[in-house]
Amino acid sequence: MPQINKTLPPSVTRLIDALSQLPGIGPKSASRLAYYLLRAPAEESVGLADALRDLKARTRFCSICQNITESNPCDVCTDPTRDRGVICVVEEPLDVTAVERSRGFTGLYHVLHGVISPMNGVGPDDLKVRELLGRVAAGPGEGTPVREVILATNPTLEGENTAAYIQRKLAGSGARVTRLARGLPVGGDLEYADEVTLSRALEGRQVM
Amino acid sequence: MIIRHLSLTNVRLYARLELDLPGGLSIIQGDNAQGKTSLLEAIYYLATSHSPHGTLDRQIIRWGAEEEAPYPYAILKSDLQRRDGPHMLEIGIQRAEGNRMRKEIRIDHINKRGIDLVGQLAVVLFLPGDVDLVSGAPALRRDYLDDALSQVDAGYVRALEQYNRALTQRNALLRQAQERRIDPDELEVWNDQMVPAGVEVALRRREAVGQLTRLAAPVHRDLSNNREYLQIVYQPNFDPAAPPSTTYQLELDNTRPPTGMDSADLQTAFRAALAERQRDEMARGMTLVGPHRDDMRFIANGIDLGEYGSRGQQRTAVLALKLAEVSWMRDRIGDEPVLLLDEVLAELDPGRRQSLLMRIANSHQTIVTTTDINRFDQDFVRKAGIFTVNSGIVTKNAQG
Repeated sequence: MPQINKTLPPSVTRLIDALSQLPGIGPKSASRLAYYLLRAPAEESVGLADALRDLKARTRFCSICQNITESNPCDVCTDPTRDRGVICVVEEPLDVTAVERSRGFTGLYHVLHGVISPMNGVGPDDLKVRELLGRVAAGPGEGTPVREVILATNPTLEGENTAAYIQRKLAGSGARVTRLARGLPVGGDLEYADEVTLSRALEGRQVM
Repeated sequence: MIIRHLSLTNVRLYARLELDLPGGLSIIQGDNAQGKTSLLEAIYYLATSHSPHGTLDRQIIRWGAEEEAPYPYAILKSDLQRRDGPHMLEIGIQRAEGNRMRKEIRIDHINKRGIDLVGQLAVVLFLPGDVDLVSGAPALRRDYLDDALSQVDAGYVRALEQYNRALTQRNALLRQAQERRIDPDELEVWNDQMVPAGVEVALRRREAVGQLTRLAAPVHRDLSNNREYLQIVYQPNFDPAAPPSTTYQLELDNTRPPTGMDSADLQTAFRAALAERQRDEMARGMTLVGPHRDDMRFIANGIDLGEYGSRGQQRTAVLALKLAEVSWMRDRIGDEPVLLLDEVLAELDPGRRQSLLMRIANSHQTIVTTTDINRFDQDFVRKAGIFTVNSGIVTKNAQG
């Protein structure tokens, strides 16, 4: 616990303590934020408090894709223009935002909320893997079969491992299982690419 | 290669050190606990980004620095003269919030990753405790191989990192298997990550030991006055082509994979061995097959020196290995490594000492520490740069 001067009123120390629990915020930043809010107009802290309260109260997991949403099913899952036969599997909700930004994907998503990591006590059952297998087995409701599952977990050891696990579980499901390509970033320079990325890019080369 | 200048801030007992070093031989003299070994450790750290013998990063930072700053730091810097020109290496270590350590590596003033240090500064370090390499635990010999290979082979660093991470995850999963029923696929996917990396590690170790033994044998023959023939034998924990007995053949080409085995065959055999031990592994909650259980043995005239060698024989074997490592690094990176010898001359008899001094006379740069400069012969001392260390202060002695 950070050592905060005992002369501070409890309402201030309570906020500082709460803020310093957040990732990337130490006791010093926490006090700076607390004093900022103390001096700022009341609307600012009330607005922040409302936002914090709503965060938990109004959001939930989408019953289809497991993304964070306020309406269930979420806007993506209920969008009639999207291709229900393709599911893109990602680790975190922020990854959905990233793929959406590309505007290159028109299918549905599935958010795992993590990766398999026995070191951190996370197994397949702690993630939304079973829900994914259920979706692929059942089709998305209106009888559209899932044609393709795109595994878009990160290219880390754990991400690769999670993708490999899901791929095993989907073998025989009838759906085509694909993995995101790995290679050079657009606008990148060959000279500055590390050896692993470059050798992966070579492996994944395509006919022009 | 030559270290032209060494600059240390808050490293071990050095609050601040700016030291110009000559090429050729330098002798650092001083009483015990004045900072002789720390100097060699600091150079080793610049080459490998870790301390020899598993000293923690936080211990590198000068004791007492934390009283002066809330987040104490250490900076190690060196100006190098390599075959390909002058270079600058810098490593900063700082204690961060939550007792974590931050490390920054800069090569020629540009921030780099740890793996980029491979081949930048190559050193061969010989500490008095290294005699235990022959008779001590297998982990010492694995660490030795890892450290040597990590200085010259980036592919090895990557394979080892991947192997160790997959191994840690797999072990955690096996421990869980003692409490819950795990899905066989969960274990299988970790095998898929661990097996190729493990085979890569084993193949590169086999090659390195083969090269080292070929270079060490003639040195050793020399050091033992033609009486002994040294072989360093790689003993992979997992060897599908292991000979049925423990007799060692002479002139065996042990740089290549076992006859009739390529990387794919070894992977298949590794998987089969894992499958065979699976029940055992689950019961004990850890991985029982793989290069994390490798060993290497020192054999002289058919006798395992680890078990039956005298202390003197063990010392000679390690000396031969270290000298072989110098040529080995030269072969691998195309430049001469810097040789760091800590007090080792004190332990050698006059004949071997002379033989060692002759061998290092032509090195680009050798730094030797001693408590007693009179152990060296006059000729030798005349050619060397002499430095005296006293409580973390290094002064160059006037020549002559």
